[in-house]
Amino acid sequence: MTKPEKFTSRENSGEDTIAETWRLRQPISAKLIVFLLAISVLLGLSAHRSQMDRAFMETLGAVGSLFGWGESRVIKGAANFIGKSFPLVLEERTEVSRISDFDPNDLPMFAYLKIEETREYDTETEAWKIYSSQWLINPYGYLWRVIGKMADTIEIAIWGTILSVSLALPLAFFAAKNYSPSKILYHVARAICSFNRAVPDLISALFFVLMYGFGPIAGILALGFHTSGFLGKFFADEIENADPGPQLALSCTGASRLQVLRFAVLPQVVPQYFAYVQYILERNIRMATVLGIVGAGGIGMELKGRWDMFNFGHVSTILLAILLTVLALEHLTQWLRAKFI
Amino acid sequence: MFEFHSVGKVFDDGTVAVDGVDLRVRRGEFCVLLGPSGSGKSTLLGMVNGLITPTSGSVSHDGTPLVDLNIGEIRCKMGMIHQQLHLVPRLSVLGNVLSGALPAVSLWRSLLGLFPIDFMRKACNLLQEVDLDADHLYRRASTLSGGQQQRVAIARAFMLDPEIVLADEPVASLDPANSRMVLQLLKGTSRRHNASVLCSLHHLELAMEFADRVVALCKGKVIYEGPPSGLTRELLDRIYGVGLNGKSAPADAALTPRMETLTAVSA
Repeated sequence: MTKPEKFTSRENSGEDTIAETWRLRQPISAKLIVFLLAISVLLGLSAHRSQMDRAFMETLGAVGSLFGWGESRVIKGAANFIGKSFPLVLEERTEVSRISDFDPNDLPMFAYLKIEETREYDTETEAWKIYSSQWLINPYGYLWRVIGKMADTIEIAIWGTILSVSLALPLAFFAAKNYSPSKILYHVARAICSFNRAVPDLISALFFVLMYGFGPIAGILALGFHTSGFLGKFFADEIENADPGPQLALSCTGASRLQVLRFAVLPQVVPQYFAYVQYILERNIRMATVLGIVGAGGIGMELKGRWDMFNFGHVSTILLAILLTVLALEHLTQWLRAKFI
Repeated sequence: MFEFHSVGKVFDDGTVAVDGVDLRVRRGEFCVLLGPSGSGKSTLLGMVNGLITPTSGSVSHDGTPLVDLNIGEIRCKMGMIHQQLHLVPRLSVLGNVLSGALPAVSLWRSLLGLFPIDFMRKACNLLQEVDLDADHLYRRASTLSGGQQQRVAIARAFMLDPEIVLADEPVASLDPANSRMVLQLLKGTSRRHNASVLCSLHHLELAMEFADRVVALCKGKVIYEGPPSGLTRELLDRIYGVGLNGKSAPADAALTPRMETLTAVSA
């Protein structure tokens, strides 16, 4: 085999001398190999501690059992939940005898009455006793309840965002290096922002529930304080990074610092502010659905209650509602942003 | 009016930007500071505005040194036009012009963006003076061309009836036709409002065409002061550093033919 002429000529002309004088690095060095080995040992140890090995085996077993090969706890658990989740519960049942002032001629819309018999074994007479009871069935009652709770949740998120923005705007003014009235205030404002970010809203909600009791107030305060940490920082960074040219031009005309902020900085940062607030609103809606679990109002409270009572049909209605709402709102905010900015 | 008394400025890094400049800006004149980059034109303008404090000598207004005056009040008496089109891009043309009147508007009114109707009228008149029409009023400044933006900047500078308008290389980022138009409008507007203009330029032709008086600077020193017709070939050589020992830097070579035509015109 003959080498191509080009190649041989180049090799002859200079490559040997370059290889002698220029130091080339190894693409894979011993250091890198040692480093990678050390990392894999550490990850291996950690994997055992966090049960990643078990997760792998169980998942393998689950896949196996799907093909009829042995039994799996994972699949049983999933089947248990899915079996109980369907059909979704949309109706609301109330025993008529528990409703005071019940008027059978004035039923709510779509509602109807149903007589159901329940049997109970009486140990004294050693016979089945049959109870007959009348139920008022509202076919979409529970759906309406979930929608109402969802509306509560969205309202919590909206008010949380409003609180967050109204805390973040003044914070941003003090936390922007070029507009902060003093260095101390700058550091204080930055510290408040970091603190608010550092406390997870699920945890601050626990404390607000202790202070304000169960209900939406705790949720709103938790969301507002936590996200004001983000917004304060983002807003302040945006002010600091605004183009200095227009600011210089306005201060040259003799405008005061607040006026420069209003006319040279605000118009520049507004589109970014909208983007941040949109993101925070979306995040708050997702978070508000969960906050109810610690008693801070909204659909989470309903979810937790139904879960604890093993009413999986109700739970799946709630989950579906959450999913649909989050998707719909994401599209809505996207649309609003495209339209107005 | 504004006077420089043997003003000097040495920056912290030791650069001498301005060295012993004496200058008096007269009422209503169009005074051009001419010189290459780094000759101290912008530093001089910054001193009038209070952006830069001189390290020696002083700048005074009607006999009172600027250091003894309230900088905010003195800034109301001057308009400023910058090189890099410092308009607020997302603000409307009207908003940009009105922002030139901010010191005269109360804080609350200005924060809410509620300018008195007199200012609105004045802004419209000024926009008309710089050849912009009603269609432009509510367009964002960023949608205008460079020349139009600089005309908006002129209107903004005249909002508070300034005694003097400082223009720092107002046409540096414009093409020749637009440069000529912008300077014409600047000169015309300043005439009508009886304001002086202190304008730094590095374009010789434009300086010759528009200046009532040229102050030529070289390395921070005034080397010529007088009508543009008095600029000689030797002076231009000194200003731009060409023809030194018969050698010229490659970048200056492009400049030389223009200067020859110029000296021919002025002769």
